[in-house]
Amino acid sequence: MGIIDLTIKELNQKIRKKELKAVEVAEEFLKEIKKKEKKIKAFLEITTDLALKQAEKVDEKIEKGEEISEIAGVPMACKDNILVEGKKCTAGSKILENYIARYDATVIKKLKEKDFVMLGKTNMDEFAMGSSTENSAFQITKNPLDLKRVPGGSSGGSAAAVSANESAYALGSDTGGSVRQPAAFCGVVGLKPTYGSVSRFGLIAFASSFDQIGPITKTVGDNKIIYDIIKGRDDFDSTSFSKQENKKEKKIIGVPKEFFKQGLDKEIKDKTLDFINKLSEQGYEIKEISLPNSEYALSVYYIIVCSEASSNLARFDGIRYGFSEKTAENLKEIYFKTKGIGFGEEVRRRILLGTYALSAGYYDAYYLKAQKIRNLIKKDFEEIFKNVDFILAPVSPVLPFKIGEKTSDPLSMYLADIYTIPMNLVGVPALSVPFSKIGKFPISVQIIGNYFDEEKLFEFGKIIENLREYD
Amino acid sequence: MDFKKEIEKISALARIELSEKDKTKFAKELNKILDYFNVLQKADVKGVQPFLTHSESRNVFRKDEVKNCFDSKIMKNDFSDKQGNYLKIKSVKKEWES
Repeated sequence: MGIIDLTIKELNQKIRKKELKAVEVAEEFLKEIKKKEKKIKAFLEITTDLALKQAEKVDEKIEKGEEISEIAGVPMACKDNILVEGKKCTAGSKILENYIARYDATVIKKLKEKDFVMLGKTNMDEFAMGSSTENSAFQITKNPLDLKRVPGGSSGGSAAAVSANESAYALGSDTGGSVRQPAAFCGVVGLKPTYGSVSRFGLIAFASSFDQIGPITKTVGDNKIIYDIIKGRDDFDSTSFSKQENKKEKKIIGVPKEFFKQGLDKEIKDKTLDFINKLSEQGYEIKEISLPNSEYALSVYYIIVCSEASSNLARFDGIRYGFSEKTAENLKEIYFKTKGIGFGEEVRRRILLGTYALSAGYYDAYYLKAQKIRNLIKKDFEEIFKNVDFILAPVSPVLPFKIGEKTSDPLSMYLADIYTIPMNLVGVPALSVPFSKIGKFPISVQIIGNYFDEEKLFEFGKIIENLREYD
Repeated sequence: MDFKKEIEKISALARIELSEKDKTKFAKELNKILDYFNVLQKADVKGVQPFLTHSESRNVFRKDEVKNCFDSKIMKNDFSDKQGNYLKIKSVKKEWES
């Protein structure tokens, strides 16, 4: 096993014990990036100088005999919608093509305090709108397991970078599955934390009542290391909060029958049900459960998400920062032309859909009704968590699809998120963990916990890792 | 319903310029997506309150004091157009008719 195959924990141990220098580790990953990037295209920017400088600092600390943190010297990659001071932050959009972040996101500030090493910023669907990373204004990221297929999205660059050993771990953001689904498509571990458990300060807003930053890692143990660093209340995000986790001894798993109906790939279904049997043999009590309102989830999600996006993205007006269309002759034209040219097709589509859902005459039928059903779905989950410890479900209804396969039909792309979006609607945490393989593609299950049950998800995730049917 | 007219109305509200080709394409696609959303009609929401927030606390207060501020010299670099210390925009008089 080479340096690039190691986990966060292993790399950090070797750096601590002076078996490896942090600079050496960073160089090794940068070499791998150089070798693979032409094919994979996971990164929008590679921050070589910054990475080496940060790594040198770690080596100096060790030389001086100073204590180093649990992630010091371990290289990471950051989704390009998370601000890193002095570095470009494009959110995958032409409208922010030359925008330079003026401050650090809270998650970055926390990682910096621990002497993190950043290799670069990763590709994504524009403003995180998409499930394949094909909506990036700059490049299409390939799935490292099959270059003809998508890595999933919207955090496709982050998941591909970790899967291809171009980075030891990465940060992504999950609004409707954007960490869990690409993690599943690339065979790595991804967490969508409880809404509010990780600060959104410095994350470019897509849909504010859904967005959460989450780690993408090789192992469940690594995921916990990063989550424990980035979580917690932040004065700069009034929707963030810290809470004590519940400790329970029970081992009851709920399996929602609605998630195994039509639309789910037969092989994924069979493998997942086999795995559930295996858990039952391990002493877990399996309970069939029902989420009666889940058939509405996709519609509710897209109505509210697009409405929030239409409001959030109004700020990109070509005046204060970002792209500005110079041919405009008056102020009104600057707005119309800047947005018309600066936003890609999917972003325009969603802004239009959101504006429609919020406009006079349609607000009650779409936005208001969707927010009411959102509460019904929330109640479904609250009821279920009175009787079960976890909910177990597939992450994606299909294996990684071919590049270009779904781009001409927006609705079929939206359906790719069908199993991940209910958790964003409700706010509960979910961890995506690979457990088996179909051909060359690992497949993952999603374990869903009650609010702030991340600790329990990690414990259970490790058990799933141990039961995994491949190395 | 002529959905293209509707697209023109909402693109004006959203301040997004669209080409004729885009208008036709989006009209077709959004029509299909809205059709899919019709599933919501059968949901019974009598007496259900709309979802408002994940947070248990409704209002979050803090002391109103000055903390770190951004350097205006740096922030100015982001302006699309400037004159001296000012953000410069094109005239809003006359041109703003609708």
